[in-house]
Amino acid sequence: MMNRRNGVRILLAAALVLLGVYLFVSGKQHQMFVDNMAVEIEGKAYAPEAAVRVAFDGGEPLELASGDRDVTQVVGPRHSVKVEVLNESGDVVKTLEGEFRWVSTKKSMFSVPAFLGGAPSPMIDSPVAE
Amino acid sequence: MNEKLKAFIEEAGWPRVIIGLFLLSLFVAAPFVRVRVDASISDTLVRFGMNGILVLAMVPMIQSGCGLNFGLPLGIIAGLLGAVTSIQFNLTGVLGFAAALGMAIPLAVLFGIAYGLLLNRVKGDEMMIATYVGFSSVAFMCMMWLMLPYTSPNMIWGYGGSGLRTTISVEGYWLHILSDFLSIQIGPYLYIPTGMFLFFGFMCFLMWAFLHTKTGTAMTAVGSNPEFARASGIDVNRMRVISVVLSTVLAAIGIIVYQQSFGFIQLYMGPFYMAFPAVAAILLGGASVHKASMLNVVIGTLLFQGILTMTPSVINSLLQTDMSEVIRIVVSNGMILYALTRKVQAKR
Amino acid sequence: MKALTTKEKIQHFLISNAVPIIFILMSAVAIPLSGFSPTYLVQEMLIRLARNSFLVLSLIIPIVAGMGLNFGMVLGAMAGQIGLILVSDWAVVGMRGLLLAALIGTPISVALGYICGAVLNRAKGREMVTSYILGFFVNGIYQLTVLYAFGKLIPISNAELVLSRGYGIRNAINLAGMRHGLDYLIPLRVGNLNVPLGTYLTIALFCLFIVWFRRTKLGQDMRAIGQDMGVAGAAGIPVEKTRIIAIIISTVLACYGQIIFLQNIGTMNTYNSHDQAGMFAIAALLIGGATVSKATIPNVFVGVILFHLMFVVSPMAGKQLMGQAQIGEYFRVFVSYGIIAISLALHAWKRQKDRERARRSLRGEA
Repeated sequence: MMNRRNGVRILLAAALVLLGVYLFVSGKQHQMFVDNMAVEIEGKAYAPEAAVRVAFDGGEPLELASGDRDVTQVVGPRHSVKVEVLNESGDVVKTLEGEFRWVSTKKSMFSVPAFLGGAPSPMIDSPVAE
Repeated sequence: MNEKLKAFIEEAGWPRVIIGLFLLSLFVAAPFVRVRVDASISDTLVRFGMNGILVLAMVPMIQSGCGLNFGLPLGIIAGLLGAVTSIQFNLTGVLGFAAALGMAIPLAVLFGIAYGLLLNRVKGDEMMIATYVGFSSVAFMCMMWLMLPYTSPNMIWGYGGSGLRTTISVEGYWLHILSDFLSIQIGPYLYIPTGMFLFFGFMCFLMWAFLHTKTGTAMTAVGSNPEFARASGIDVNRMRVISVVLSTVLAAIGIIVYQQSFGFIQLYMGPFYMAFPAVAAILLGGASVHKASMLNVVIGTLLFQGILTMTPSVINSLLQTDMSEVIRIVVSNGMILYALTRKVQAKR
Repeated sequence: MKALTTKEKIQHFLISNAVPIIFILMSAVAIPLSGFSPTYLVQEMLIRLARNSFLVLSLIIPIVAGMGLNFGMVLGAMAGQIGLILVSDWAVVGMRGLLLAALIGTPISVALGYICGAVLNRAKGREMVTSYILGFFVNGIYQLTVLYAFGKLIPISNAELVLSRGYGIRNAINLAGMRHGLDYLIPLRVGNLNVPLGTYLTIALFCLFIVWFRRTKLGQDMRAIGQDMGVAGAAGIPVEKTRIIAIIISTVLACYGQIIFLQNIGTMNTYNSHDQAGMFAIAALLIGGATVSKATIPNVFVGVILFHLMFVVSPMAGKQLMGQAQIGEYFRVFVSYGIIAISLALHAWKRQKDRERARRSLRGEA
């Protein structure tokens, strides 16, 4: 019975489903590991820095030494990140800001070396399933 | 033969037949899921006896047109007060039981009169108000149980606390005083509480006899056709109050019978929801909101308690989970719903 | 009719507002007894207004449509909770989580509301008792679902939500991710208090909606049905359908109201939160002066403040008066139920008096 009223109702229902999908994707909170270890992506090796300070989406920064791994929560698909490289006395030597996208629960680890080295995506395989 | 079967089904009503068959099927299925049939029969019979008088208490108010007595807790409270006072005076055995009844009944009469006068002012909305009168009185008694000057050490909180405990055991006082009278024990699992049945039967007989007296028929007339009753010179309000008093007194008696079988007096929030199983039972037995008979009481209680006993035990064994509480909720409220939504034949 | 004298006007005012007046008097006694400071009480009331107003407002429409107190609002509350359980499992946070929960709860509420409306149509004249029992019945089905189907038939991946036996939802669910999602959507601080501005704005919008709705054709139809079903039917209004729509609207709104309530508290009691939602909302509305056949927006706010004032103050007042806080707690349960009993009784009594007066005038007496 494809008359106008049903057509409008179906469109409305479809719009609501799309709204639901949008809410789900943009609102879902993910557990993300933050890694400062040596990693190899597509043949290129990235080395860790001695000390870094990482802040996601303008939130509280995490401090990582070489070989450290930490965990944090992020919400939604797109994120901003600010990485500050520190020297022995704690001063900021280099700052790098950028944006990245959440890929999947399999690749849910953010690699600081990969990000600093300019890899296409800083997300690498996570050690555990989410 | 077919004609007779059809007539029986129409007389009994489809819901009852379906539930009866369901209950039968549960009993048949029981041995296959390792549920003992004799224990189940015994449980069902005991619960039947326990609840019968509480269901009977529904009849007077239905007959007089006051609707389903959701305010049953009021009468139950009278019974509780009688039972607790009897224990306070350390009365045991038949004397204790009789004393409990003796103190509960006058209280129930008082409560019933007040309750009845209230209901007379709110004709047409009795059921809703009855529910909340019942709830408020239970809540009020919650405060009272803490404050009333009872001192018997079996009843108050330990370590020098004041106020009555939530559950009080009647063991040593009048536990099973009715049930054990002339009881029959067949094997280790099948126990028939004959005494309780005799008492219940006696109450039903009294009710039946009362309904056939002049007052009783007047009461029924008030329920089925108030205008006609008034025109015939019957004092409608007086009949309604009498029915409420009867109902409240039966509730008081009913809870004491219940307690002697169950073994515990449940105070505080115990009586809160007790009206609902009784309502469900009598509706299941075929009563409507305006008309109820002894047969309704007996059949309804038997079917209802049977379902409440059998469904959980069979399904629990079948599915290896404990769903009894939830099933109880769904089944009893579903039955009340069904009765409430039946089309009323005659115009109100 | 001659104009009422001042004395008669005062009498009339006292009788028609008996319930709120009794309540104000009780509060006037209990507040100093309890020992709470006025600032604390004002703060609590502001929070509770944000938390509960939406739920109470959802009761207005069925009253206008003549269907009495919608005890079936717990159905909407349950739908909202199911939405919140799923969203919690999916770890969607903040306002988006709440919206998603509302989005999921809405079709469930519509279905439940439709069932409720249809059942009530078959029990005309007994709507309140029927919706009351229906609430229990659906509660049973809700428990079956949440206790058994969730985890077995409906996959739940978040172990924190599930009981230790492997299926079934826990009783206390932490809604930390979505807590205050609506409250602090628009941040506002006054002194050192966070003001739930988002919720207040939503409530205001809802009030506007109710005012607007009353003026629409549907709203007018409902009022006509509320005044006299027979006359409305004769005038061509589809009575059965409109009643169902009234209940559906109320159920959906109760769903949103429960979500708003829970996001403010931050924890959900899977098996209890919805029960109390219905009871307290109805008690609050009646305390505010509404009756079974008439409810206005002021009733809602006055009622919420008075009811929750009593709620907060009773345990302490009971402790001072009787030495046991427990008595105060039972006292507030007693008052909640008692007030509903009194309101219903007063209303039914008034209705009976009106009927008798009409009948007497028909018979030609004075």
